[in-house]
Amino acid sequence: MITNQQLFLYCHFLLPKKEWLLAIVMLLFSVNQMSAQGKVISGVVTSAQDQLPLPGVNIMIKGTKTVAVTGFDGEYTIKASPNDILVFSFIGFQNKELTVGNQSKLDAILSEDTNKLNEVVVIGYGTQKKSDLTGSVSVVNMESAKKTVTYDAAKMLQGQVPGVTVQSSGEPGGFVNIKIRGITSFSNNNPLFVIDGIMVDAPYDFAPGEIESMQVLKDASSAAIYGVRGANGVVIITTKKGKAGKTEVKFKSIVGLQNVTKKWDVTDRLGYQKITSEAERNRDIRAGVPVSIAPGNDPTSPSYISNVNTDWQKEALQTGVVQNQALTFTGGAESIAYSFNVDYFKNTSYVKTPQDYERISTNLNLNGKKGKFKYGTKVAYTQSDKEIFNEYNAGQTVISDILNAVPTMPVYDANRLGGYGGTDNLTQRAISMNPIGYNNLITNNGKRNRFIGDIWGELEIVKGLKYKLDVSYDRTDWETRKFIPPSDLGWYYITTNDEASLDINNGNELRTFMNNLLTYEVTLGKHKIDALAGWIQEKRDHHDYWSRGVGYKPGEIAMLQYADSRNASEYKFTITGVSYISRLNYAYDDRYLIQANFRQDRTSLFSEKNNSANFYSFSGGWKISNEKFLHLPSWVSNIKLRGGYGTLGNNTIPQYFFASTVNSFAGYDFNNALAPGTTVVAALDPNVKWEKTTSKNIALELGFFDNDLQFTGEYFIKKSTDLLLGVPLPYSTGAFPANITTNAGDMQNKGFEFTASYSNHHHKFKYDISANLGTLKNEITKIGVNGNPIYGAVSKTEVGRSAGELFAWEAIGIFQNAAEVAASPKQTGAAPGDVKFRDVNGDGIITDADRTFQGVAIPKYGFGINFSASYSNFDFSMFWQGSGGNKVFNAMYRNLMAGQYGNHSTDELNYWTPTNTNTNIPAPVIGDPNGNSRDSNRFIQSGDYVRLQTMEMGFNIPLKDKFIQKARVYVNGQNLWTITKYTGYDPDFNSDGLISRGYDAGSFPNPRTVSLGVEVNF
Amino acid sequence: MKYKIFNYIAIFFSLAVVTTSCVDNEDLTQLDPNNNAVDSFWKTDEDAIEGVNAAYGSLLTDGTYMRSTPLLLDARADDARTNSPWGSMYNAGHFNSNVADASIYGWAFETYYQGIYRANQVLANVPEIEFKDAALKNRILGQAYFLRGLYLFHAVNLFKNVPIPTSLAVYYPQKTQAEGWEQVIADFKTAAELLPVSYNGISGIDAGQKGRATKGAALGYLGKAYLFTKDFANAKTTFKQVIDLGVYSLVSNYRDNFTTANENNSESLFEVQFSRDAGGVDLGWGGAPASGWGKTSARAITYAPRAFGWTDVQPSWALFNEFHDEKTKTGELDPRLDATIFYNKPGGMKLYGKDFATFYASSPADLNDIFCRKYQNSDGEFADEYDWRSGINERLLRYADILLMYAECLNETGDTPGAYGYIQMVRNRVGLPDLAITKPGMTQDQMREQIGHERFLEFPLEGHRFDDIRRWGWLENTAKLAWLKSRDAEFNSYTAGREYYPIPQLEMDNNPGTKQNDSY
Repeated sequence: MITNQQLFLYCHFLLPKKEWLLAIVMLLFSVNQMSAQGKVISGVVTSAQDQLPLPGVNIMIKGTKTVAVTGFDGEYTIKASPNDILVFSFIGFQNKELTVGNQSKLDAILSEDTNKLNEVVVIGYGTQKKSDLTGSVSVVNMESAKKTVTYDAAKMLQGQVPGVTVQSSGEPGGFVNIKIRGITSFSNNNPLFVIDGIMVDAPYDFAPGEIESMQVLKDASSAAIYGVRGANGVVIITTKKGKAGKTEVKFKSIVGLQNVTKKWDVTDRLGYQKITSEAERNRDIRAGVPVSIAPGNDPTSPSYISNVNTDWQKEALQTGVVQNQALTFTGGAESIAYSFNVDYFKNTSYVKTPQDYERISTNLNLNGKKGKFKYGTKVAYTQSDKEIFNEYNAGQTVISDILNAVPTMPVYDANRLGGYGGTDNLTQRAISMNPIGYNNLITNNGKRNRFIGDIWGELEIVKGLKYKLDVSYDRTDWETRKFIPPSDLGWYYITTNDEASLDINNGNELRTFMNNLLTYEVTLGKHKIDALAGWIQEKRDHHDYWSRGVGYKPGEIAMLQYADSRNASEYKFTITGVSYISRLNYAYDDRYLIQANFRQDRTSLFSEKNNSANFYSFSGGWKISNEKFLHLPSWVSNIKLRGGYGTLGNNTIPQYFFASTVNSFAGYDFNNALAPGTTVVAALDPNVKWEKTTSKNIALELGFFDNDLQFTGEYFIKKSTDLLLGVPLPYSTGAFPANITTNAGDMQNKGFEFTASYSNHHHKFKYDISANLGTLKNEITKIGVNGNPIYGAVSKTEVGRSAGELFAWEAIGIFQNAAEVAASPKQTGAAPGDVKFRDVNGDGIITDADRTFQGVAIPKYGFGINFSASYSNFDFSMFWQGSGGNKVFNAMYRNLMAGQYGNHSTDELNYWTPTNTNTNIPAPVIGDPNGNSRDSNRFIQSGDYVRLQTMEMGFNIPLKDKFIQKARVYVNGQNLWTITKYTGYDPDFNSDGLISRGYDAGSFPNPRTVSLGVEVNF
Repeated sequence: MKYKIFNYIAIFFSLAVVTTSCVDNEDLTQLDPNNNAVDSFWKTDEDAIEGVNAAYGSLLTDGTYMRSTPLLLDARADDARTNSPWGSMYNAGHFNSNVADASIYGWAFETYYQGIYRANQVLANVPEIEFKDAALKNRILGQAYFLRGLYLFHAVNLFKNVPIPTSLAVYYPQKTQAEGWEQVIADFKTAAELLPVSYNGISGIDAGQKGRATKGAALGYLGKAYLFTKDFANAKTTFKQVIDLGVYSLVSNYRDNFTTANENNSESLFEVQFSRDAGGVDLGWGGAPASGWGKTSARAITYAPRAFGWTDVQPSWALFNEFHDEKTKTGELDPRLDATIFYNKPGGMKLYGKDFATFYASSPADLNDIFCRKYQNSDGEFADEYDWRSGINERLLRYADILLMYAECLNETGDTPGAYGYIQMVRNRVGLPDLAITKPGMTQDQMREQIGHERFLEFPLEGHRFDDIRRWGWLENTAKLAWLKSRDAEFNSYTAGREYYPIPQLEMDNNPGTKQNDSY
């Protein structure tokens, strides 16, 4: 045992002066040990609903600190005097008070708490009763959200909350993009995620199974406490915490099968050979040279290919398997309660290649209380292993490769090194990637280990005044190994021994946070005050190492020491931040609510003169239904008006982007030896500063029939200024990359959000219906340098329009004859059979100035509809989700309609010829001299869709055995049915986000998943 | 019991505080540990030489001489054809470059300006540095002027009306081609004044380094710029200055100009230095340079015969045939044919150590085709070009070119008889008969045609032919254009204005006021 003196010495030795004083302060406060007098009372607590015993119910003698907890069979014992009042409390149930009197046995029956507004919501650095919220905070219905089987919690938000859009893909372990209330930034629109108080950029490494609650903070009033990180909204995730009481064990297992539901109609061998030969014929006729058809496509040639007819979609797509098992233990005593979760997730790809994603994660939460001191810790460890798909060129995905692969290429070919088929220069002339071969030959494996440790303690210094210290440590280690062995995948895709390479990237990142929080809570008559002040420090250390070995013989061991030559490099950065936060909540008579937030942030991401910024917000609420002067009918349970105003920031720019550096590897060679060269390569803006967003919103909340029917309507305006943006520079600047990150624009987002829900739990048939709808209008109010618009992939972003609007030429028909070509505005390279484009500016020539806006790329609305019901032992739910009002450039369709050497869409078979003139498909020509496949409205389609995102049917097996408390089996379907006019694989595709938001280059389609699951509670 | 709780609390807080690294004011200023700050650079003569080396470095990227520039210069002319399956290459050769796809030509434009930016950094910073050796400072500045002139020469020559960055700024407005040539001439003039004739026999960190720009290189390019702007008088004087330097002579073996065997030889005024031995083995296509980048070229794999590389460029039949027009004094084929073209030669021809006829025996189309040999690593040392890494220096300016350009200036300024001697120097090397005997007394026009023929056979696949066609006005001459079409069907798709490539759309979009070249 450490004595007081020893402790002093210890403090003195270990602590800096400031902290030492703090330790003394803590020692000055003493804790009253509790002692109880009287007789022993015992009883059983049961649920009013099903008469089953309730374990873990808290029983407290009113006005004292004497506490007991029900055990395994809902039984408890407590020492109490006859005058004592026992307060029974249990989450989700209404509190019950019973006077002890003369009884020694006191049973209690608790009824479910139907007042949904008493729910406690986790907000930034604290909690609040839902009914007291003045900001815009959406609470996710976890029961519904968890029905989405996924590796990423962000994906679970899809359609659950108005104003939140999710873009995902079917790639195992692929990244999920999420946006709250539209886009506020050009650089990063993903919200901040806070998991158990720890800030993380994305919930990527965390198992969704252990999540207890999710809240989305959407406006400045609620997110201002996160200041510089709050502009894109905040998602707060709380994982399951232990509760004192009986040990509970939950096991969950789900196994699902995944398929791509849609098939593109692409040409088979004959169709392919026909179109490509026509394209070569047209090329040669136009060039005035003898017609030369690729021998492989020419029936008169001895090299004619007639024995290969690969259906690449059929060959490459298979049934993927997704599985998730989770085991959770909870229990413990008041002094220490635990929740421990082990979660295993594995997803094998629906592409017939080794790609998959496997993850095991564990999470331990400990929390407890001893007198005035509360404490807790979180220890989480995740290990994931991802076999990554390979891209030959950036943006060329395995999906686009499958569609572009020519049917005259065999999947396997024993004569080629590696055993996979390819194309030939001489016979086929097509450069065509064999995606099955490529992804099977290459090993590209990414491993991530992430450890999170968090420890906190909270001391109640005097009644209502609490000091909390929370320290977290978040470390990720990763290793990616990519080995490209020597192989022959046909012409162009040959990897020689000299080119064979092994790339290894190791790295680690450590993020530490230290939060010092002081809170004060007091109720003085009708006045309720709740205040927070805090000091936060953050540090992020990142280090990457790369090693590269080049030169391997076939079969040689894929390790660095076997390479013919090697090189290595490293990269590191440190980002630091210091913040001061404060919040004041004031409520008067449960009628008027006011909240104010202030945060000051300083960060190393900007130069010293720009590194500090202040953010604040004010919001208020008026609980109209609590006004005495109103005599509302009894069925009106809640009317609340709330609104707020505030400022938020965004600092998501890469580190060191304000200080220009020189590159020392720009060398040359003289006399066959390296001559070192040093120069400035990138253009940086030394004055770059924070991006700021101000948001205003007003909302009305209504509740009827004991809040069984609820409605919320909200309107918001978000204005962002000094947007951080990589402004494209002309090539003539000479900088690489040809852009400069600067504060280059302003924009505004506004919209309405509605939610409505009805639940009826009064009968044996219980059901809930909820719906949400969010609208969004984005407008750029300032852009670029001197208002110069910014161009993206088939898009243009300019003042007065929304970001990333599609911008393209307009096709107005097909030239039928030479006379028509001659009589039309000049279109260089045009001939009969080519697409005629509209001369928008009427200058008699088709140039880049004839491109026009072709539609908004950001969905104008998004919605979700949830229905769930249960009857006796059966339960059923379905969830529809959709968005629309946006246009998509179907780049995959463009590729398949290009009429070149790659494979074609079957639509292309109806190409123009002098005898087939009633068509809008141009004649294919190698080289496409007219630019028929240029960015035009030929490939722009509506992005509207409605999707049956999940449907689930479950059955609770009635059990007599008390050991197993619950056993449920269920069937779950995801992405079951989509209504859309979009012809690509999936209107819910993952794209780069903003400037090129509406460009679908061939993202992994979200698969249809049908799963069978079981849940057992012990 | 009471103390126990305190102890736990105190231990918890102290451990928590101690184990967390505190962030204080100093930590809020973080500087990039991976690179040196620009403020600490440009202090010494070594910094200056590294700065100018970086300006040379831009010659090695994909957009410049690693691949795109030779292809852009060669593909359109009647000495080469392209059947590349890659649209950007194919279209470059067919006057059909697509405004929507700036691959190849856009990369060239982009990297010329990266080179100019690097040269301008030298010109802006080096004058401020104190040098012990003033001659070294002059050499460094002279090289920077030369390189800026060289990159700008390419930009003006291929893209016509382009921006002219002469200082460090972000936006440079588009200028006329005449203004561009003026700046090119000014830069080469300054460079010629500052540069030494040779780096042998000097002292300094650059002593003995072959490949650095010399006075001869600057004068040669200055003369070429005059010639391209039809200032024959100044061109003549300048070429004569080069000849009078007395340091250049033709190498006896023509093929020594296109292999690694005899690089930086007596005939070479300026060449881009490629080497398989310098730097790493990664292909430094472009972007931010990395430590693993090699210093090699991808020209050889791009131009290589079928099955040895990509065959994106092939010699034209017009070239092959024209080599047969005139025999050497000993009655043999012009030796430049075999140095330039692979073909099914009666009596056999070796490529990459294999016999042409045997290798292509099973592929009749290839057996009867012709392929590039110039600048290929095909003399037996390598089995193919598939490692992408060619170490052959690209000879940008040869003394043979100076002689023929000088002869052209003599002819254009009225001294047609004087042109014979300089032409014959080039012919003598390959054993061709004396022109004064076979074709005496040519008129100025006949001499022009003769020079055209001589240049065609001396420089095929060296990027000069299309420049010649354009500057001689053949594209505006109906008869000449018809003749070109008869030699190379690629000219069928030529339309007026397409003698220049389009200004890349990225430049159009982001440099306000930029006008696209005609016909795009």
